[in-house]
Amino acid sequence: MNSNLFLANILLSLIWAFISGTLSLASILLGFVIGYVILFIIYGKEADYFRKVIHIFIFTFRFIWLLFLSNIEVAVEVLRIRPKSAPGIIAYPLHSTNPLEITLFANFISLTPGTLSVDISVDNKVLYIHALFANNPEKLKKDIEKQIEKPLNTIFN
Amino acid sequence: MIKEIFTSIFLLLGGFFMLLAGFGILRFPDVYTRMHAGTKSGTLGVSGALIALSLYFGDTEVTVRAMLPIIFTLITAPVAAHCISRSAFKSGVELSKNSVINEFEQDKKISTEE
Amino acid sequence: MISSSIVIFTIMVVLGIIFALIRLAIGPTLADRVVALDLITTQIVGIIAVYSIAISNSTYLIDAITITILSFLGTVTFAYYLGLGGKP
Repeated sequence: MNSNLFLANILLSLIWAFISGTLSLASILLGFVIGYVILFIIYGKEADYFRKVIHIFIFTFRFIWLLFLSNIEVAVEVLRIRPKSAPGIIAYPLHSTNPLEITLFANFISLTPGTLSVDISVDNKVLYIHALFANNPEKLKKDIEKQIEKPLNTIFN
Repeated sequence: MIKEIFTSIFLLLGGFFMLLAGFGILRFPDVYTRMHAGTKSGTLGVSGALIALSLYFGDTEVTVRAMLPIIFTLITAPVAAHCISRSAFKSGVELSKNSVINEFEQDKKISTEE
Repeated sequence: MISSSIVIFTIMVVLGIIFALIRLAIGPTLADRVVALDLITTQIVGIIAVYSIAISNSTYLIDAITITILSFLGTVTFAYYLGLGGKP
């Protein structure tokens, strides 16, 4: 159902681009938005495809913002005359068992503020994360859960 | 005119983060913290430079071709960092002296005892 | 305006490459050197981008894509070698 709607949306955007006569990035994006609205009018709230697209959109922008923030954090740490970083490796218990979700989670961890994924345990339940500021591991784990794992989880189910 | 301003802003931002990545890699105390600088700042720096390029040309074909390295870097940089840090840990590279916690080491000891 | 920012960008990136080269030379372990090499290839992609702007010709973008993929392959190979217990 979901993949069918996605294909229909792509097809509608391509049709829009061909009809408007210019095969550029802007026209394809506009066609995607228009196709999305049309499919939403037809199928309404039965399919959760629409919710997912909006979640992915929000998550992308949040991710870009987090990437920027993480660079500012590293910049401040690098330029400080007397570094106050307290690096360490923490064990983060994963809530999901979906391999794709774990992979994406580990990648996002590596690109967001102050954290870097090091290894995963043999039974795929614990992710080991290297953090620049590991003074307060419990708070760090809560932050990671709130900022990355919850939004990613809403996309996947 | 406004195109030039945005191109310059993205160029300078990218260059600043590249410089920062080099400086961080020189200054941080151990492999894992160095990887923080190398992965994040390097990714943002190259994205800034390529976005400036696509703004400068303002052409769909060039934009698509400039987006490809950005996407590749975004996908491959975390994977590469993960590979290096994991195998560095396996080959016995130690954390710096001012590290506060190492739950990996504790868990590893437990699992080898079993 | 763009020409001056191109010059500033080049100076900053070359400084970054010099820093990474110092780390490549003195890095105590092999992993440090691999990280430095990875960063250098990323910075070279930035140099290619700014060179394309400077000559107003986007032909060299293909090289940027190729270098990105090849540097990833090289890094993973080094990591595999390290994981097998390779000595520097």
